[in-house]
Amino acid sequence: MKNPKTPTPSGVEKFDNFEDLKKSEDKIISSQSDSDEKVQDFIKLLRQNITAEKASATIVKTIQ
Amino acid sequence: MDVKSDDHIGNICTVLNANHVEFIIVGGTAARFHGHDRLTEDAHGNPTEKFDYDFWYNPTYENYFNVLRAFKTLGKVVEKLQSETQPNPKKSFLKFEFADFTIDMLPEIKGLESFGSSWQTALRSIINKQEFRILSLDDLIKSKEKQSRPKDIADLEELRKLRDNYS
Repeated sequence: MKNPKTPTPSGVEKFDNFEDLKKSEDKIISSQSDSDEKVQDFIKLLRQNITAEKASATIVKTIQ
Repeated sequence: MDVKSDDHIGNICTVLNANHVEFIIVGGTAARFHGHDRLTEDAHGNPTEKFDYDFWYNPTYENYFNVLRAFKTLGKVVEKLQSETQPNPKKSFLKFEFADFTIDMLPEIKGLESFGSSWQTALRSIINKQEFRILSLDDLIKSKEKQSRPKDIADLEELRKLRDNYS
């Protein structure tokens, strides 16, 4: 059985369907704190730079 | 954007844009964008799953190969996929692993009509002249309605609350 922590040599895998792809990720573990901070930074940037014409009430409220 | 190498998702998105990849940010990142902050640790602070970014790509041949070219520039070994004579982009769910996260490139999203339709209603964010599209809240809810994983069901409840609160 493949060790889920070990990336494939190519760093790429291809699946025929969504379910198989997601099953492959179920047990991958990593240090979350650093990764999570980067996720939050990116989302913050996306929110701050949303174009006005598509900004929904939800996003406006969220940004506020 | 303060980014370096491939350790920041923003840089990876920039590379996708530079390679003319049409994609929409979906999944947990879109949910967070709309205000539903998913936990990535359990109640005891233990690490859970490696964070995965889900991107919906337009499953045309041209865009499929643009995706492969983009990730090749990020150091991924995609020659085998590039050499396939008859790939089926509509059945090509791709996972790219990075040190801190994985990126899933999805050719379809259950419950949503087409990439083109969702592209039109997606929210646009422009960072350093790079445009990013994020799945609309309505589409996100529609997609979650077709998922059956426990975390999707929990997401759905929270996303509906967000929509109801701000409608």
